[in-house]
Amino acid sequence: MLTIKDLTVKVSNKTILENFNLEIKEGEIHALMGKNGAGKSTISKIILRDEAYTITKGTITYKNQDLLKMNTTEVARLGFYLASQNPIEIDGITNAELIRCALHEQGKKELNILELNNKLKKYCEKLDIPTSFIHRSINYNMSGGEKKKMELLYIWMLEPKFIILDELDSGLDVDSLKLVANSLLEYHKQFKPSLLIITHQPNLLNSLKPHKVHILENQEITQTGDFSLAQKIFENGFSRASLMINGGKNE
Amino acid sequence: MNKLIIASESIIVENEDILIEEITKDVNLYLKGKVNCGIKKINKKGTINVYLEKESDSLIEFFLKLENNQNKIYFHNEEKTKLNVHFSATFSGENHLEIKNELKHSNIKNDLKIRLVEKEGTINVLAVGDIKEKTKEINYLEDIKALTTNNERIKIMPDLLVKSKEVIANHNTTISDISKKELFYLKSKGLSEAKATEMIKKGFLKGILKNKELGGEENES
Repeated sequence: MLTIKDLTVKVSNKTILENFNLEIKEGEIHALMGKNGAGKSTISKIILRDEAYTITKGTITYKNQDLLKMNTTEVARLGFYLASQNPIEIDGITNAELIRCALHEQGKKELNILELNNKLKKYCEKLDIPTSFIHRSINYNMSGGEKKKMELLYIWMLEPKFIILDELDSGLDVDSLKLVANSLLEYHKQFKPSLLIITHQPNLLNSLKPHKVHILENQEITQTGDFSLAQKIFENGFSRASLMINGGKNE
Repeated sequence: MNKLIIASESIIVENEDILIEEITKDVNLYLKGKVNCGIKKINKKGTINVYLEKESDSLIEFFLKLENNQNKIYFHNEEKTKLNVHFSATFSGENHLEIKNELKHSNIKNDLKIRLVEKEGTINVLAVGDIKEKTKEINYLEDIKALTTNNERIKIMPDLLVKSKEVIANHNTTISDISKKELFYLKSKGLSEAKATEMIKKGFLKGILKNKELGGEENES
């Protein structure tokens, strides 16, 4: 279980999160929603221990381990995976090289080149990714949608236990969105990871049906509810008054 | 692809892909037609002159490990030529590199990319683009990028001299530390800081190379 308690975070002396609380049990799917600039993506980077953020108060624990005492590598090796909003391009390192290296560094089952290639090809076909992308530089010259599908390929290859999807659904066309949602559902069914979905769109949530939906506002979670809360936001926007009338619950 | 060790003063390559394993002394390299040339090792102290014959379209790629090197690499284009130079190298010790394009003829497109990665050393790079009078339709681009942990160890001096009016000449130099965003991305996949750094450096050098076989490993020079 991931537990975030009373977390206060600063960047360049500016407080961007204050007394933030969140609890995600094993295998649960949670959605984090909020207006642009509310700090949703910040949460994902803090969990993955991005050094750009300074924690001034609070705790983050996962299975009774203190994540604040760990660095990014150690958190990733616990089984965390961040599918970022804008996956960066790194020229000169191929996807196959990175995946092979990541599997090795995470101490997972070693695959020889042929086995790795076959596994990559299998998932490329499933995700409708050209197999030539396997040997292309990381996200290099790929469209926004292609980059998002590559993140999903990494998930299938690295088999994480806790996945944070930071607006994975943005930039995807209708068909790709359906494919990504189905693939995530299949992954969840097979591996039972915890999922934290950061999104503005209804589509992914309609398919994945989160156990809990949280609204991030003014640097803290102001409302938590079930999937119906997300549906109300899609219908009415983030107006608090509207949510209260429609039965959103403060926690 | 032919693999060569060059110990002679001159070599002529015509419409061929070649991989030069080693250049052991000063050399004049004459390229004719469409040539793809990879170079894995050069002599520690010496001059390479590359002559591009009329209407040639060539690619020269270097993938080197410079260690106390002092080298001059001069490019000479005839009329209606196109030359891509990709120069990737790590450097340690004290190094001096002079790269010079002297353009006396018209209708030339030269694209020079240099990527350098520091390994506890210093380097001085002098990049000279000398575009002579009365030349026309010249498109000349120098793009130099270096990764270093200490900016005092690297000095890049552009020297663009343009005497013609019908020229586009560009020089771009970037000296930087490893991108924190790239490091975070790789570490978030479970790579250690050391492994992530190593991969980024390798990728930085390999990124500009067309011949991936050349970028397989760093080569002694």
